[in-house]
Amino acid sequence: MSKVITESEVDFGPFQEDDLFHIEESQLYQSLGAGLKTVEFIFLRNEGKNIVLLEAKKTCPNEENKEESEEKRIKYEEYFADITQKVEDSVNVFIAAILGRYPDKEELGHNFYDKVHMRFAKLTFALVITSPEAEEAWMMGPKAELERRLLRLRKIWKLDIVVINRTTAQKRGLISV
Amino acid sequence: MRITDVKLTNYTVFEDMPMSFAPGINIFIGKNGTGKTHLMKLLYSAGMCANGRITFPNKLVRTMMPLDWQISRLVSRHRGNRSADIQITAIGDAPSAKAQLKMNFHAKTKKWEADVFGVEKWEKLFASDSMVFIPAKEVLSNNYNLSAAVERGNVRFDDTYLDILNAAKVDISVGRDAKDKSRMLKDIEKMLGGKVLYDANKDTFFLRVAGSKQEFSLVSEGVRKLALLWTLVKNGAVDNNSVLFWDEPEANINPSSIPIITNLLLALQRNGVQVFISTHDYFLSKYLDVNSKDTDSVKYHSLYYDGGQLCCESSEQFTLLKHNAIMETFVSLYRDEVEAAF
Repeated sequence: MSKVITESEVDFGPFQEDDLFHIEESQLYQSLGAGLKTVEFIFLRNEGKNIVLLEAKKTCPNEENKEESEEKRIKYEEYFADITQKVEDSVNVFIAAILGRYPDKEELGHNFYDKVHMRFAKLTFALVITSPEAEEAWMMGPKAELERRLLRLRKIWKLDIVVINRTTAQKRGLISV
Repeated sequence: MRITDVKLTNYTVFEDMPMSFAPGINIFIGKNGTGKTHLMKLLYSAGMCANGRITFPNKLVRTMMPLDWQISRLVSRHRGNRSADIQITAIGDAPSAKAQLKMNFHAKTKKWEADVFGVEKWEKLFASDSMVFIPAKEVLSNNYNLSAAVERGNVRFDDTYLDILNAAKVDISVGRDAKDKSRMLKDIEKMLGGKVLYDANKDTFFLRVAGSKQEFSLVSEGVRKLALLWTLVKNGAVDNNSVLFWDEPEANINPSSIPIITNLLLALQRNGVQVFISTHDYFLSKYLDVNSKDTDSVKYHSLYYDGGQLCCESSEQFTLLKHNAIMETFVSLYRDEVEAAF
Protein backbone atom coordinates (compact mmCIF):
# COMPACT_ATOMS: atom_id res chain seq x y z
CA MET A 1 0.00 0.00 0.00
CA SER A 2 1.19 3.50 -0.72
CA LYS A 3 0.73 6.76 1.10
CA VAL A 4 0.81 10.45 0.19
CA ILE A 5 1.78 12.90 2.93
CA THR A 6 0.69 16.51 2.69
CA GLU A 7 2.98 19.04 4.35
CA SER A 8 3.42 22.78 3.76
CA GLU A 9 0.77 22.66 1.02
CA VAL A 10 2.61 20.03 -0.98
CA ASP A 11 1.81 16.33 -1.53
CA PHE A 12 4.88 14.21 -0.89
CA GLY A 13 5.01 10.71 -2.26
CA PRO A 14 3.42 8.37 -2.87
CA PHE A 15 5.61 6.21 -0.67
CA GLN A 16 5.26 2.50 -0.13
CA GLU A 17 4.23 2.05 3.50
CA ASP A 18 6.93 -0.56 3.92
CA ASP A 19 9.49 2.15 3.15
CA LEU A 20 7.93 4.79 5.39
CA PHE A 21 8.06 5.93 9.00
CA HIS A 22 5.58 8.80 9.44
CA ILE A 23 7.34 9.81 12.62
CA GLU A 24 5.47 13.07 13.26
CA GLU A 25 2.11 11.25 13.33
CA SER A 26 3.39 8.15 15.11
CA GLN A 27 2.24 6.95 18.53
CA LEU A 28 5.82 6.14 19.21
CA TYR A 29 6.88 9.77 19.00
CA GLN A 30 3.82 11.18 20.72
CA SER A 31 4.18 8.78 23.62
CA LEU A 32 7.58 10.24 24.39
CA GLY A 33 5.90 13.38 25.64
CA ALA A 34 6.60 17.08 25.39
CA GLY A 35 10.02 18.59 24.79
CA LEU A 36 10.91 16.58 21.71
CA LYS A 37 10.57 17.69 18.14
CA THR A 38 10.63 15.69 14.94
CA VAL A 39 10.86 15.95 11.17
CA GLU A 40 7.77 15.19 9.07
CA PHE A 41 8.69 11.65 8.05
CA ILE A 42 11.52 9.25 7.31
CA PHE A 43 11.60 7.08 4.20
CA LEU A 44 13.78 4.68 2.27
CA ARG A 45 15.10 5.13 -1.25
CA ASN A 46 17.09 2.96 -3.65
CA GLU A 47 16.11 -0.38 -2.14
CA GLY A 48 17.06 0.69 1.34
CA LYS A 49 20.45 2.13 0.44
CA ASN A 50 19.30 5.63 1.45
CA ILE A 51 17.49 6.61 4.64
CA VAL A 52 16.04 10.10 4.25
CA LEU A 53 14.71 12.33 7.03
CA LEU A 54 12.49 14.97 5.43
CA GLU A 55 11.30 18.31 6.74
CA ALA A 56 9.18 20.67 4.67
CA LYS A 57 8.95 24.42 5.10
CA LYS A 58 7.12 26.94 2.96
CA THR A 59 9.91 29.53 3.11
CA CYS A 60 13.35 30.13 4.47
CA PRO A 61 14.77 33.32 6.06
CA ASN A 62 17.49 35.15 4.17
CA GLU A 63 20.85 35.34 5.92
CA GLU A 64 21.80 38.51 4.05
CA ASN A 65 19.16 40.58 5.79
CA LYS A 66 18.95 38.85 9.17
CA GLU A 67 20.82 41.71 10.87
CA GLU A 68 18.40 44.35 9.58
CA SER A 69 16.36 44.13 12.77
CA GLU A 70 16.26 42.29 16.07
CA GLU A 71 13.03 40.64 14.95
CA LYS A 72 14.65 39.24 11.79
CA ARG A 73 17.65 38.05 13.72
CA ILE A 74 15.42 36.22 16.23
CA LYS A 75 13.29 34.68 13.49
CA TYR A 76 16.39 33.44 11.67
CA GLU A 77 17.80 31.90 14.85
CA GLU A 78 14.48 30.29 15.80
CA TYR A 79 14.00 28.83 12.33
CA PHE A 80 17.35 27.05 12.22
CA ALA A 81 17.38 26.13 15.90
CA ASP A 82 13.98 24.48 15.40
CA ILE A 83 15.15 22.45 12.41
CA THR A 84 18.37 21.48 14.17
CA GLN A 85 16.49 20.10 17.16
CA LYS A 86 14.05 18.26 14.89
CA VAL A 87 16.87 16.51 13.07
CA GLU A 88 18.77 15.61 16.24
CA ASP A 89 15.68 14.27 18.04
CA SER A 90 14.49 12.40 14.94
CA VAL A 91 17.80 10.62 14.48
CA ASN A 92 17.78 9.61 18.14
CA VAL A 93 14.17 8.35 18.04
CA PHE A 94 14.73 6.52 14.77
CA ILE A 95 17.88 4.75 15.91
CA ALA A 96 16.22 3.86 19.23
CA ALA A 97 13.27 2.39 17.33
CA ILE A 98 15.54 0.35 15.03
CA LEU A 99 17.39 -0.98 18.07
CA GLY A 100 14.11 -2.14 19.54
CA ARG A 101 13.88 0.29 22.42
CA TYR A 102 10.14 0.58 21.97
CA PRO A 103 7.68 -2.32 22.20
CA ASP A 104 5.66 -1.41 19.08
CA LYS A 105 7.69 -1.85 15.90
CA GLU A 106 4.78 -1.68 13.46
CA GLU A 107 4.91 2.06 12.78
CA LEU A 108 8.19 1.66 10.97
CA GLY A 109 7.78 0.14 7.55
CA HIS A 110 8.98 -3.49 7.38
CA ASN A 111 11.74 -2.67 4.95
CA PHE A 112 13.55 -0.70 7.66
CA TYR A 113 14.17 -4.09 9.26
CA ASP A 114 14.18 -6.37 6.23
CA LYS A 115 16.01 -4.43 3.56
CA VAL A 116 18.22 -1.85 5.19
CA HIS A 117 21.78 -2.87 5.88
CA MET A 118 22.35 -0.30 8.62
CA ARG A 119 26.11 -0.44 8.33
CA PHE A 120 26.08 0.71 4.71
CA ALA A 121 22.89 2.75 4.35
CA LYS A 122 23.44 6.44 3.64
CA LEU A 123 21.69 8.78 6.07
CA THR A 124 20.40 12.07 4.63
CA PHE A 125 18.44 15.00 5.98
CA ALA A 126 16.45 16.80 3.29
CA LEU A 127 14.89 20.21 3.90
CA VAL A 128 12.37 20.98 1.16
CA ILE A 129 11.40 24.63 0.67
CA THR A 130 7.99 24.38 -0.93
CA SER A 131 7.33 27.96 -2.00
CA PRO A 132 7.13 28.03 -5.83
CA GLU A 133 9.26 31.21 -5.79
CA ALA A 134 12.20 29.56 -4.01
CA GLU A 135 15.12 29.52 -6.43
CA GLU A 136 17.82 26.88 -6.56
CA ALA A 137 20.61 29.37 -5.85
CA TRP A 138 18.96 30.33 -2.53
CA MET A 139 19.30 26.80 -1.18
CA MET A 140 23.04 26.94 -0.63
CA GLY A 141 22.97 29.42 2.25
CA PRO A 142 20.53 27.36 4.38
CA LYS A 143 22.51 24.22 3.54
CA ALA A 144 25.71 25.82 4.82
CA GLU A 145 23.94 27.02 7.99
CA LEU A 146 22.51 23.57 8.75
CA GLU A 147 25.83 21.87 8.04
CA ARG A 148 27.41 24.13 10.63
CA ARG A 149 24.73 23.51 13.25
CA LEU A 150 24.57 19.77 12.66
CA LEU A 151 28.32 19.23 12.58
CA ARG A 152 28.34 16.81 15.56
CA LEU A 153 25.58 14.69 14.09
CA ARG A 154 27.29 14.73 10.71
CA LYS A 155 30.52 13.52 12.27
CA ILE A 156 28.86 10.79 14.37
CA TRP A 157 26.38 9.45 11.82
CA LYS A 158 27.98 10.63 8.56
CA LEU A 159 24.77 12.51 7.90
CA ASP A 160 24.40 14.28 4.53
CA ILE A 161 22.37 17.45 4.34
CA VAL A 162 20.51 18.74 1.30
CA VAL A 163 18.25 21.75 0.99
CA ILE A 164 16.13 21.67 -2.15
CA ASN A 165 13.29 23.61 -3.66
CA ARG A 166 10.01 22.28 -4.97
CA THR A 167 11.31 21.83 -8.52
CA THR A 168 14.26 19.72 -7.42
CA ALA A 169 12.03 17.70 -5.10
CA GLN A 170 9.74 16.97 -8.03
CA LYS A 171 12.69 15.93 -10.20
CA ARG A 172 13.83 13.61 -7.41
CA GLY A 173 10.43 11.96 -7.26
CA LEU A 174 9.62 13.25 -3.78
CA ILE A 175 6.53 15.18 -4.76
CA SER A 176 3.44 13.98 -6.59
CA VAL A 177 3.21 15.84 -9.86
CA MET B 1 41.63 59.68 -14.70
CA ARG B 2 38.44 57.64 -14.97
CA ILE B 3 38.19 55.27 -17.90
CA THR B 4 34.54 55.46 -18.94
CA ASP B 5 34.19 53.40 -22.12
CA VAL B 6 35.97 51.09 -24.47
CA LYS B 7 35.00 49.90 -27.93
CA LEU B 8 36.93 46.99 -29.38
CA THR B 9 36.80 45.56 -32.86
CA ASN B 10 38.86 42.50 -33.74
CA TYR B 11 41.23 42.84 -30.77
CA THR B 12 42.32 39.33 -29.66
CA VAL B 13 39.08 37.53 -28.65
CA PHE B 14 36.96 40.70 -28.87
CA GLU B 15 35.35 40.83 -32.29
CA ASP B 16 32.84 43.57 -31.50
CA MET B 17 32.69 44.72 -27.91
CA PRO B 18 31.51 48.03 -26.46
CA MET B 19 31.72 48.36 -22.68
CA SER B 20 30.96 51.14 -20.19
CA PHE B 21 32.74 51.25 -16.85
CA ALA B 22 31.92 52.45 -13.39
CA PRO B 23 34.04 55.26 -11.92
CA GLY B 24 34.69 52.99 -8.92
CA ILE B 25 35.30 49.23 -8.94
CA ASN B 26 34.89 47.18 -12.12
CA ILE B 27 34.95 43.41 -11.73
CA PHE B 28 35.50 41.17 -14.76
CA ILE B 29 34.30 37.60 -14.41
CA GLY B 30 34.20 34.84 -16.96
CA LYS B 31 35.70 31.50 -17.86
CA ASN B 32 39.31 31.18 -18.94
CA GLY B 33 39.80 32.48 -22.46
CA THR B 34 37.19 35.21 -22.31
CA GLY B 35 39.78 37.98 -22.53
CA LYS B 36 39.71 39.45 -19.02
CA THR B 37 43.46 39.95 -18.73
CA HIS B 38 43.78 41.07 -22.38
CA LEU B 39 41.26 43.79 -21.68
CA MET B 40 42.90 44.93 -18.45
CA LYS B 41 46.36 45.06 -20.09
CA LEU B 42 44.91 47.10 -22.96
CA LEU B 43 43.36 49.67 -20.62
CA TYR B 44 46.53 49.75 -18.53
CA SER B 45 48.68 50.36 -21.61
CA ALA B 46 46.43 53.21 -22.68
CA GLY B 47 46.73 54.80 -19.26
CA MET B 48 50.50 54.36 -19.12
CA CYS B 49 51.12 56.07 -22.45
CA ALA B 50 49.58 59.29 -21.12
CA ASN B 51 52.92 60.28 -19.58
CA GLY B 52 54.40 60.53 -23.08
CA ARG B 53 57.40 58.30 -22.35
CA ILE B 54 56.08 55.42 -24.44
CA THR B 55 53.51 55.11 -27.18
CA PHE B 56 50.26 53.19 -26.78
CA PRO B 57 51.09 50.42 -29.27
CA ASN B 58 54.63 50.04 -27.92
CA LYS B 59 53.34 49.68 -24.38
CA LEU B 60 50.69 47.24 -25.52
CA VAL B 61 53.16 44.86 -27.13
CA ARG B 62 55.40 45.11 -24.07
CA THR B 63 52.53 44.00 -21.83
CA MET B 64 50.98 41.45 -24.17
CA MET B 65 54.29 40.10 -25.57
CA PRO B 66 53.12 38.83 -28.95
CA LEU B 67 55.69 36.91 -30.94
CA ASP B 68 58.47 39.18 -32.26
CA TRP B 69 56.61 42.14 -30.71
CA GLN B 70 54.25 42.12 -33.67
CA ILE B 71 51.09 44.02 -32.81
CA SER B 72 49.52 42.40 -35.88
CA ARG B 73 49.30 39.17 -33.85
CA LEU B 74 46.73 40.87 -31.60
CA VAL B 75 44.22 41.08 -34.46
CA SER B 76 41.41 38.57 -33.92
CA ARG B 77 42.24 35.28 -35.60
CA HIS B 78 39.13 34.85 -37.70
CA ARG B 79 38.83 34.48 -41.43
CA GLY B 80 38.26 37.82 -43.09
CA ASN B 81 39.14 39.92 -40.01
CA ARG B 82 42.17 41.92 -41.00
CA SER B 83 41.95 45.11 -38.95
CA ALA B 84 41.66 45.89 -35.24
CA ASP B 85 40.11 49.08 -33.87
CA ILE B 86 40.39 50.29 -30.32
CA GLN B 87 38.68 53.31 -28.78
CA ILE B 88 39.12 54.21 -25.14
CA THR B 89 37.38 57.15 -23.51
CA ALA B 90 38.41 58.69 -20.21
CA ILE B 91 37.51 61.73 -18.16
CA GLY B 92 39.32 63.89 -15.65
CA ASP B 93 38.06 65.97 -12.74
CA ALA B 94 37.07 69.07 -14.71
CA PRO B 95 33.73 68.97 -16.57
CA SER B 96 35.43 69.50 -19.94
CA ALA B 97 38.20 66.99 -19.23
CA LYS B 98 37.28 64.21 -21.63
CA ALA B 99 39.49 62.53 -24.19
CA GLN B 100 39.37 59.58 -26.49
CA LEU B 101 42.35 57.53 -27.55
CA LYS B 102 42.04 55.48 -30.72
CA MET B 103 44.29 52.90 -32.26
CA ASN B 104 44.08 50.94 -35.48
CA PHE B 105 46.28 48.14 -36.73
CA HIS B 106 45.93 45.22 -39.08
CA ALA B 107 47.41 41.87 -39.93
CA LYS B 108 50.22 43.43 -41.97
CA THR B 109 51.20 46.15 -39.49
CA LYS B 110 54.95 45.93 -38.81
CA LYS B 111 56.14 45.63 -35.20
CA TRP B 112 54.12 48.19 -33.18
CA GLU B 113 53.61 50.75 -35.94
CA ALA B 114 49.88 51.10 -35.34
CA ASP B 115 48.00 54.30 -36.13
CA VAL B 116 47.07 56.22 -32.98
CA PHE B 117 44.77 59.22 -32.68
CA GLY B 118 43.91 61.61 -29.87
CA VAL B 119 47.32 61.38 -28.20
CA GLU B 120 47.83 65.09 -27.62
CA LYS B 121 44.66 65.68 -25.61
CA TRP B 122 45.10 62.33 -23.84
CA GLU B 123 48.59 63.26 -22.64
CA LYS B 124 47.52 66.80 -21.75
CA LEU B 125 44.71 65.57 -19.49
CA PHE B 126 46.17 62.44 -17.92
CA ALA B 127 49.97 62.77 -17.91
CA SER B 128 50.21 63.01 -14.13
CA ASP B 129 47.74 60.23 -13.28
CA SER B 130 49.23 57.03 -11.96
CA MET B 131 48.49 53.57 -13.33
CA VAL B 132 49.24 50.42 -11.34
CA PHE B 133 48.86 46.84 -12.57
CA ILE B 134 49.24 44.04 -10.00
CA PRO B 135 49.79 40.79 -11.91
CA ALA B 136 48.33 37.48 -10.75
CA LYS B 137 51.76 36.08 -9.92
CA GLU B 138 53.64 37.69 -7.06
CA VAL B 139 56.95 39.15 -8.19
CA LEU B 140 58.57 41.17 -5.38
CA SER B 141 60.48 38.15 -4.12
CA ASN B 142 62.10 37.72 -7.53
CA ASN B 143 62.99 41.37 -7.74
CA TYR B 144 66.74 41.12 -7.44
CA ASN B 145 68.30 42.25 -10.71
CA LEU B 146 65.14 41.31 -12.62
CA SER B 147 64.95 44.50 -14.68
CA ALA B 148 68.57 44.15 -15.79
CA ALA B 149 68.04 40.49 -16.66
CA VAL B 150 65.02 41.38 -18.78
CA GLU B 151 66.93 44.16 -20.54
CA ARG B 152 69.74 41.72 -21.39
CA GLY B 153 67.20 39.24 -22.70
CA ASN B 154 68.13 36.58 -20.10
CA VAL B 155 64.56 36.22 -18.99
CA ARG B 156 61.17 37.33 -20.31
CA PHE B 157 58.63 39.16 -18.21
CA ASP B 158 56.01 41.47 -19.58
CA ASP B 159 55.95 45.11 -18.54
CA THR B 160 53.27 44.60 -15.91
CA TYR B 161 55.84 42.75 -13.79
CA LEU B 162 58.62 45.28 -14.35
CA ASP B 163 56.34 48.26 -13.80
CA ILE B 164 54.99 46.94 -10.51
CA LEU B 165 58.52 46.44 -9.22
CA ASN B 166 59.38 50.03 -10.09
CA ALA B 167 56.18 51.26 -8.49
CA ALA B 168 56.98 49.33 -5.32
CA LYS B 169 60.50 50.75 -5.14
CA VAL B 170 59.36 54.38 -5.08
CA ASP B 171 60.50 55.93 -1.81
CA ILE B 172 58.05 55.39 0.96
CA SER B 173 56.61 58.77 1.87
CA VAL B 174 57.78 60.19 5.17
CA GLY B 175 55.61 62.17 7.51
CA ARG B 176 52.13 61.56 8.79
CA ASP B 177 49.69 59.68 6.61
CA ALA B 178 46.22 61.03 5.98
CA LYS B 179 43.51 59.48 8.15
CA ASP B 180 41.99 57.23 5.45
CA LYS B 181 45.39 56.10 4.23
CA SER B 182 46.49 55.41 7.81
CA ARG B 183 43.43 53.26 8.41
CA MET B 184 44.00 51.25 5.24
CA LEU B 185 47.65 50.73 6.09
CA LYS B 186 46.76 49.54 9.60
CA ASP B 187 44.30 47.01 8.17
CA ILE B 188 46.92 45.60 5.84
CA GLU B 189 49.57 45.59 8.59
CA LYS B 190 47.24 43.52 10.75
CA MET B 191 47.03 40.90 8.03
CA LEU B 192 50.74 41.11 7.29
CA GLY B 193 51.91 41.13 10.84
CA GLY B 194 54.43 43.83 9.93
CA LYS B 195 55.59 46.50 7.46
CA VAL B 196 57.50 46.38 4.19
CA LEU B 197 61.05 47.55 3.83
CA TYR B 198 62.94 47.96 0.56
CA ASP B 199 66.70 47.73 0.89
CA ALA B 200 68.00 49.69 -2.11
CA ASN B 201 71.59 48.51 -1.54
CA LYS B 202 70.57 44.90 -1.77
CA ASP B 203 67.72 45.58 -4.24
CA THR B 204 65.58 43.31 -2.08
CA PHE B 205 62.28 43.56 -0.25
CA PHE B 206 61.88 42.56 3.38
CA LEU B 207 59.03 42.23 5.81
CA ARG B 208 59.80 43.88 9.12
CA VAL B 209 58.18 41.87 11.90
CA ALA B 210 58.79 42.63 15.58
CA GLY B 211 62.11 44.30 14.90
CA SER B 212 63.54 41.62 12.64
CA LYS B 213 63.74 41.55 8.84
CA GLN B 214 62.38 38.60 6.88
CA GLU B 215 63.35 38.32 3.25
CA PHE B 216 60.39 37.93 0.94
CA SER B 217 61.54 34.57 -0.34
CA LEU B 218 60.78 33.17 3.10
CA VAL B 219 57.25 34.47 3.51
CA SER B 220 54.15 33.06 1.86
CA GLU B 221 53.03 34.27 -1.54
CA GLY B 222 49.79 35.57 -0.10
CA VAL B 223 51.65 37.69 2.44
CA ARG B 224 53.91 39.04 -0.30
CA LYS B 225 50.88 40.17 -2.27
CA LEU B 226 49.49 42.02 0.72
CA ALA B 227 52.93 43.51 1.31
CA LEU B 228 52.88 44.84 -2.22
CA LEU B 229 49.51 46.48 -1.64
CA TRP B 230 50.81 48.05 1.57
CA THR B 231 53.79 49.48 -0.28
CA LEU B 232 51.71 50.92 -3.10
CA VAL B 233 49.32 52.62 -0.68
CA LYS B 234 52.15 53.86 1.55
CA ASN B 235 54.24 55.36 -1.23
CA GLY B 236 51.24 56.94 -2.94
CA ALA B 237 51.44 54.90 -6.15
CA VAL B 238 47.81 54.03 -5.53
CA ASP B 239 46.16 57.29 -4.65
CA ASN B 240 43.44 59.71 -5.64
CA ASN B 241 43.06 59.86 -9.44
CA SER B 242 45.10 56.70 -10.02
CA VAL B 243 43.78 53.59 -11.71
CA LEU B 244 44.50 50.20 -10.15
CA PHE B 245 44.38 46.99 -12.16
CA TRP B 246 44.56 43.79 -10.12
CA ASP B 247 44.57 40.41 -11.85
CA GLU B 248 43.02 37.70 -9.65
CA PRO B 249 43.47 39.32 -6.22
CA GLU B 250 42.31 36.06 -4.61
CA ALA B 251 45.27 33.98 -5.86
CA ASN B 252 47.23 32.58 -2.89
CA ILE B 253 45.22 34.62 -0.39
CA ASN B 254 43.61 32.86 2.56
CA PRO B 255 39.80 33.05 2.14
CA SER B 256 39.50 34.61 5.61
CA SER B 257 41.43 37.65 4.28
CA ILE B 258 39.05 38.20 1.37
CA PRO B 259 36.59 40.40 3.34
CA ILE B 260 39.48 42.70 4.33
CA ILE B 261 40.75 42.84 0.73
CA THR B 262 37.27 43.80 -0.46
CA ASN B 263 36.97 46.49 2.22
CA LEU B 264 40.36 47.84 1.15
CA LEU B 265 39.23 48.00 -2.46
CA LEU B 266 36.06 49.79 -1.43
CA ALA B 267 38.11 52.22 0.67
CA LEU B 268 40.43 52.89 -2.28
CA GLN B 269 37.42 53.55 -4.47
CA ARG B 270 36.01 56.00 -1.91
CA ASN B 271 39.36 57.77 -1.98
CA GLY B 272 39.17 58.38 -5.71
CA VAL B 273 40.93 55.31 -7.13
CA GLN B 274 39.30 53.62 -10.11
CA VAL B 275 39.77 49.85 -9.83
CA PHE B 276 39.63 47.06 -12.39
CA ILE B 277 39.90 43.47 -11.20
CA SER B 278 39.49 40.12 -12.83
CA THR B 279 38.41 37.24 -10.63
CA HIS B 280 37.26 33.64 -10.56
CA ASP B 281 36.44 33.85 -6.85
CA TYR B 282 32.93 33.62 -5.44
CA PHE B 283 33.89 35.14 -2.08
CA LEU B 284 35.60 38.17 -3.56
CA SER B 285 32.70 38.83 -5.93
CA LYS B 286 30.05 38.34 -3.28
CA TYR B 287 31.81 40.30 -0.53
CA LEU B 288 32.15 43.30 -2.82
CA ASP B 289 28.42 43.06 -3.40
CA VAL B 290 27.57 42.60 0.28
CA ASN B 291 30.00 45.16 1.75
CA SER B 292 29.41 47.98 -0.73
CA LYS B 293 27.16 50.86 0.35
CA ASP B 294 24.62 52.70 -1.79
CA THR B 295 27.13 55.50 -2.33
CA ASP B 296 29.83 53.14 -3.63
CA SER B 297 30.37 52.54 -7.31
CA VAL B 298 30.68 48.83 -8.15
CA LYS B 299 29.97 47.17 -11.49
CA TYR B 300 30.31 43.56 -12.62
CA HIS B 301 31.11 42.65 -16.21
CA SER B 302 30.51 39.05 -17.16
CA LEU B 303 32.27 37.89 -20.33
CA TYR B 304 30.78 34.80 -21.94
CA TYR B 305 30.49 33.07 -25.27
CA ASP B 306 27.13 32.81 -27.00
CA GLY B 307 27.15 30.83 -30.21
CA GLY B 308 30.86 31.46 -30.73
CA GLN B 309 30.52 35.20 -30.17
CA LEU B 310 32.06 36.82 -27.10
CA CYS B 311 29.47 38.90 -25.25
CA CYS B 312 29.39 41.01 -22.13
CA GLU B 313 26.67 41.42 -19.55
CA SER B 314 27.06 44.15 -16.93
CA SER B 315 25.26 44.64 -13.65
CA GLU B 316 25.73 46.56 -10.42
CA GLN B 317 24.84 43.44 -8.46
CA PHE B 318 26.65 40.12 -8.65
CA THR B 319 23.53 38.02 -8.18
CA LEU B 320 21.62 39.81 -10.94
CA LEU B 321 23.98 38.62 -13.66
CA LYS B 322 22.21 36.11 -15.87
CA HIS B 323 25.53 34.80 -17.21
CA ASN B 324 27.60 34.13 -14.13
CA ALA B 325 30.37 31.59 -14.52
CA ILE B 326 31.16 31.67 -10.79
CA MET B 327 27.57 31.02 -9.68
CA GLU B 328 27.16 28.39 -12.39
CA THR B 329 30.00 26.42 -10.84
CA PHE B 330 28.47 26.81 -7.38
CA VAL B 331 25.10 25.60 -8.59
CA SER B 332 26.75 22.73 -10.44
CA LEU B 333 28.53 21.69 -7.24
CA TYR B 334 25.27 22.00 -5.31
CA ARG B 335 23.50 19.75 -7.83
CA ASP B 336 26.28 17.17 -7.60
CA GLU B 337 25.95 17.21 -3.80
CA VAL B 338 22.18 16.63 -4.03
CA GLU B 339 22.79 13.80 -6.49
CA ALA B 340 25.36 12.19 -4.19
CA ALA B 341 23.13 12.52 -1.10
CA PHE B 342 20.13 10.90 -2.75
